[in-house]
Amino acid sequence: MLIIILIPLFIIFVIAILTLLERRLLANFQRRIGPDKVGLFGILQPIADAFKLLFKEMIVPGIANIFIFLAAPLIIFLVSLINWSIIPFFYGNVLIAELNLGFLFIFAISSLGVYGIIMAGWASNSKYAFLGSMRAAAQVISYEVSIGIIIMIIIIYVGSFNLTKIVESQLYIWNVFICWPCFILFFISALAETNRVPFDLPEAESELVSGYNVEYSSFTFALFFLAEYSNIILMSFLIVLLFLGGWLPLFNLDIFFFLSKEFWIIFKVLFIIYLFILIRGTLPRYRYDQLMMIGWKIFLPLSLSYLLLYIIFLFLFELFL
Amino acid sequence: MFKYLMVLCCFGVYTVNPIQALLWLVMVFLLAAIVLIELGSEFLAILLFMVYIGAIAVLFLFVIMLLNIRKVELYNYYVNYIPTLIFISFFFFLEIFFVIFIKCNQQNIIDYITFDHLWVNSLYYTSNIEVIGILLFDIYYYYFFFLGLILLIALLGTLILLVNLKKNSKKIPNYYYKKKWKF
Repeated sequence: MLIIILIPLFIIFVIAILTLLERRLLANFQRRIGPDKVGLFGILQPIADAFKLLFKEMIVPGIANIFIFLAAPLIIFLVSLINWSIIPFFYGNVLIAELNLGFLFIFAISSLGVYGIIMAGWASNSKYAFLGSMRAAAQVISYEVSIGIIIMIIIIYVGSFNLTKIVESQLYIWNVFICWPCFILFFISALAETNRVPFDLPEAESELVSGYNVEYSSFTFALFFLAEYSNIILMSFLIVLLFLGGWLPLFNLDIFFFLSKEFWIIFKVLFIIYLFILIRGTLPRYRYDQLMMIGWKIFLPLSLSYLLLYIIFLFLFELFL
Repeated sequence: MFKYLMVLCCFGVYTVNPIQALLWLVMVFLLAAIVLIELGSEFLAILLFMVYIGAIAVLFLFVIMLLNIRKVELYNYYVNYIPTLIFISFFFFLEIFFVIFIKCNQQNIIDYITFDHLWVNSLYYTSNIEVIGILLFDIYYYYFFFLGLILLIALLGTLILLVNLKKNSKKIPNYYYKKKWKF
């Protein structure tokens, strides 16, 4: 029981640190100072932000469908937390539940997140929110397809949906070295799936004010914000577990084992998050038709053909070796 | 418990607002998935999540939100579709009848699973996916092919409809269309 309460709190704490980290790093990329006034080196900035959001007045638009309007942020936040329940953290045994259908579960639950987006856009009864939600939903759906196919490649190779087994199969060599095109495809799809910068069209500030969460304020907005960042950390965890060997060190050498397992997984996840922020600091935004074209006409055929190639290779290996 | 909730949610589908009706339908799917988990077939439950909730219902929501459907039109549709509704539900009833009263031969499946394992082990360790795989690809592979063919026919049908539409669109005085067809 205690873990079930502690893990969401821990995740929210990590998200708070991540927001500060992102702002500091962005400031460094753009030669600014960034937030440094609240607390020592701005450490208390996320807490100040949280208090500001919580003590603001919550405004519900008069023409909104109140029930769906309030349900949408709750759904998004809950879905982003449920996914954490089967992620193996440090040693591979700190879990709420170890599912045999691990990856299918994550995939099924994260497909529920789209409902929160669509409901938020529709219920707030405003053109900007509606357009933003349409954009976000289309983007998330179309990139989920390529993510699913890439996960299928790994699962065919490992032979199990279980996350711990997927990590353990990378003891001798990480999956990055075996299928690096998959890694690149998965990383870009993850950027699109979490609505991050080269694909942050749902909240394009210059066109739509802030996407599907325009009408939300104070606590409901905080829920959207938390869900978004929780999804970012989750995606980087998934990338690490799938491709970068989770808590396993580089190759199966004794030299690397003097560093603990916690160090390896935290280091890798931080590296992926750093890449997310670096991309936010450097790349401009795509046009929407370009985004859709990349999703359906480049990523989907590429990942499908890679899946086919992989199956043929495995079949040939089984025949001749 | 969840069964009764599911039946109650089914009535919610008859609300006037099409989007609210769809959200009720999603609720029904969710509860159906929970019932499947209760029955012990979590793989089917997750498939229901992924296919129906994650893909089909989202696409429906998408299309309905972009269309401007009037509430009065929907009422008329109900009346028109009642004969087809009875026709389809008759076949559905027949299917369920076959499943319940004629049954698939369970001994067959157990023989397949226990063919090259210790049967005690296989009783405990054959997962959901394995059983479904054995059923689909070993025992009922013929029906599986047949289902694939039906799906292919549906796909080809939609494609043929689209091709015909394009031929008709020649008559529309659209500059871009004309240029493409000449080329």
